[in-house]
Amino acid sequence: MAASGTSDATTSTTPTTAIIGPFHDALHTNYIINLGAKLDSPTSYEGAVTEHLRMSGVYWTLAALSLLRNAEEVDTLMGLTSSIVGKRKAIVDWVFACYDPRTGGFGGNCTGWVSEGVDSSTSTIDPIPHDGHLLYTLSALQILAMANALDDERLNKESIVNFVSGLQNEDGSFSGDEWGEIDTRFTYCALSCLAILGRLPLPSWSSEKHQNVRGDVAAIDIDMAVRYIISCRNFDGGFGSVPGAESHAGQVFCCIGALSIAHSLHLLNGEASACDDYSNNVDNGGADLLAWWLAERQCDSGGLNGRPEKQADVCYSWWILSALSIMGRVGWIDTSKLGKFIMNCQDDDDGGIADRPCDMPDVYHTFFGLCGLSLIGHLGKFGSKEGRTYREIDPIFALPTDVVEKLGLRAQVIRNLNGVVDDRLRIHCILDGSK
Amino acid sequence: MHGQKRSEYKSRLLNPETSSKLATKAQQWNHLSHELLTQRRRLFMPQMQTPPAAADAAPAATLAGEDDYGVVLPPSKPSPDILLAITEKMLSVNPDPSHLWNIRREMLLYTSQLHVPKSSLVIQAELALTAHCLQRNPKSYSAWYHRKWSLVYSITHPTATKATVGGNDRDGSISISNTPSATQQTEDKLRTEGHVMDMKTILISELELCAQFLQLDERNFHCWNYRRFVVALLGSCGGSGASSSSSTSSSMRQYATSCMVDKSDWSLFTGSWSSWLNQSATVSMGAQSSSRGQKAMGNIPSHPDGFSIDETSSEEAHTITQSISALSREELDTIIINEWNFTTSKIHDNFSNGSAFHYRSKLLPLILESRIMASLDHEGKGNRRYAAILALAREEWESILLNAIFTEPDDQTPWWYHRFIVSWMKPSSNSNNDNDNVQECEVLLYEMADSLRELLEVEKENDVLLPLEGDDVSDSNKDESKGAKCKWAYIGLHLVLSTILKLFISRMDEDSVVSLRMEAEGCLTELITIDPNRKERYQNLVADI
Ligand SMILES: [Zn+2]
Repeated sequence: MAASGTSDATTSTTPTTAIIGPFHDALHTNYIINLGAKLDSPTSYEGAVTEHLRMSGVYWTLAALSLLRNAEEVDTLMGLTSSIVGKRKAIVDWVFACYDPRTGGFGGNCTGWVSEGVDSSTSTIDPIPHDGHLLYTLSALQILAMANALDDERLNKESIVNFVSGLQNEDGSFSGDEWGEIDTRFTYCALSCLAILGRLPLPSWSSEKHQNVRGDVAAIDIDMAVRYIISCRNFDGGFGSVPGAESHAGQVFCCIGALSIAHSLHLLNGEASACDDYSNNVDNGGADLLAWWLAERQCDSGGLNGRPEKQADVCYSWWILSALSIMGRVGWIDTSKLGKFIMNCQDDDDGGIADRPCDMPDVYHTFFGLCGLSLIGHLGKFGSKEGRTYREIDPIFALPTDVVEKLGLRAQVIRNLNGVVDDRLRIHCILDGSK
Repeated sequence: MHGQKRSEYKSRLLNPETSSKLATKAQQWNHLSHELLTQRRRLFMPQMQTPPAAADAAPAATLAGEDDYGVVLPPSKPSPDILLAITEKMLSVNPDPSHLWNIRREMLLYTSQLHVPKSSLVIQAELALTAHCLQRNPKSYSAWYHRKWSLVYSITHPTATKATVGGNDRDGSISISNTPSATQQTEDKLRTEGHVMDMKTILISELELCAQFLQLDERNFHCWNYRRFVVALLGSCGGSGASSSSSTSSSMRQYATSCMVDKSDWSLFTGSWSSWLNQSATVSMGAQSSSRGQKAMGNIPSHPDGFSIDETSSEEAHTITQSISALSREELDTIIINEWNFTTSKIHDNFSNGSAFHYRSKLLPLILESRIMASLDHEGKGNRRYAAILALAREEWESILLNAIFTEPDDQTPWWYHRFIVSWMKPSSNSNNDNDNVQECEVLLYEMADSLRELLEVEKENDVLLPLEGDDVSDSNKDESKGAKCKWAYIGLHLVLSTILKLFISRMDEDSVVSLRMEAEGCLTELITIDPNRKERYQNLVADI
């Protein structure tokens, strides 16, 4: 297997099967735009319950809308970089209010933030951020990336890099914050953050030029970070949150995404001994075993579940399709059946997409449902029906592809078994498929 | 929202009574959230204090939860006890926000240094609070983590921890104005009782808690992870404090910052079992030096009273002695065998318990080692090892897998484990396994193939016998994730046949090779028809043959 810098395959793998409708563009857009104000209300129960992860909520909201509208429209509709007069200050200003200078990372929210239009006498203190955490630091950087605000002078890149690198443990793993919880989700966050900040070192085995790194000292030990991920692999080819933890599709995305960002997907086919400390006999099955396990997540309903014998759920459309897409094996599931399942989860009255048909939508499933439709090529077709050009999602960085391209982010994907690479992936480095 | 029916959710919001109740709860939550962070800031940053009027004049707020008690916020100086009480109240309502647990830990450590003697982290209180939170939300990452943190902190800071018997009756009411905190009350009560339970006993009882949570949800991976973590702690540090006498390799360690478990203890959180195989008798924890050093709350500005959280400056700075227990090999074996039996009973309860199969796959190498060690015959170690692998593989096939796949042939769960066993029992290419063993591997594979052919025959007969089973019936009874009939038996047979072909082709005559190849290909052809969703993959496999 050799990494090649350029791709000579041109065809896209967009399925040709007929697709069903209707796709509720206007309802979804409306739902997404109005959601923020709803959650911001001090009487919103949903807002209170999800208060601690608002940074991610805002990221899902902006990213969802970004798939349906262009950057300028998103900015105006959401008040991303400038305030919506009489309603709300700019989202970017709020993001910076959530920066926690003590840790160097972003918190999930802040308290004491006064929105424009609210009586400012109710609070007389500066906003106080929640504690910095890798999850919210990534969401914040993703928001800033979509807002084209990574060069904002308020962004203290050096401190963020120190925050991220300080969370790496000796075995290569990452803690989510200073209190020490370890999870492969945090590895993905750490690598993605550093990539977005242009400070990700490449591993010793990479033939790519270290175009990403500025400065002399590597922020983190990338070789160890990658080895740790491989140590979380299981007998079914999947990955868990720590070594020994059960495979879970969400965790698979984090691990495959991290390997992709670290240009280390070839390690999927590595020696079995690297896969597990002590089960030295087991062949690790390469990308094929993992992709097969992911393909078996498809249920009769067409939807995907996260583990065997679990119910299908729209959010796995993202976790699984992104991983399959990185490995060039989206065709291993029935994409048109999945598309139907996601469409059935739309709220036909008020917009939004739910986890399952007839359930209550939320922004998380709305975003991941749209991502799913994008990755199987359906969203683009709905766009042409609407007379719009919908943006595509990047399966590695979970940002619109144009944003990824503009930032010059370059991860790694595997060419599919027919030698084809999806158009949206051609900005990344291509690894020839296994076998 | 996961599992919220749209119509019910919307009608609930339309109900004025419900929606006003929810609105009140939301306001109370937001108020407490604000109060917590402002008080914490005032505690640590007096110079940045808010104008007293703003916070102090605010009316006392109550958050009446479902437990019918409220936290009364007094208009007073911020104190760690108040902050602890607020975090307890908020986390009992919603255990997810990790920053609330952060503040709780910060305050626990803060008070443990303010008070004399330094002993106010009562592990039982934290275990009780997290248990309460987990009963409400068994999938809360943060609550499980706080439980881990409490255990690790107790183990690594034995002098700063009170572990007591009978501390799990949580005070029902919390009133924090001018009275000691609930934590303190509990602590006082427990101190008089004076029973100090050693950590090993606590860890063993944690396994029981896991069993209870897995009774409620056998697939809760948080709980399985926690169980593995507890077992790893047992293996790596057994029990510290009262129980341990043999301080074989005591490590002296200073803790400079007080805010968190020492960063060099990260390995205790991974739940890694790898150390189990490295030592045969005594497994020591040892202190790893952290290259990146410790960090965190050392940066917090000092307390108004001149108390510095950075303890290096204080004469109180002390070293702790890490006492390492010496678990005998028998004790370690008992723990592992106990875990092995636990998965056996979980799997027999329900063959669909993929979490138990997974856990078992991680135990298998440990069981293997323990059997090899137990055997007195040390001759021909390499061959013995492979013989032991084959014996275990046969056991798994005969006592677990055959039963599972004949009972629930359309359930994919045992089939993944079957694939693992087949892969695990293959002779490794680089070692010279003796002929007897390789032959036993071949025999077992042929037996598997025979059983799978038999299973397919049985299933085909059932199909013929029950042609009238209506679509409605089968649709409603069938789990959506079950997939096509017999699919997994074909996948299993294909796996076994292609493994035989790969391993033993040199020992086979040409006719057998051709017939096995045809049979394997036949499985794939069948699969393309009955499982069209994944036909692309099967087509790729056909191309492989
Ligand atoms: Zn979901």
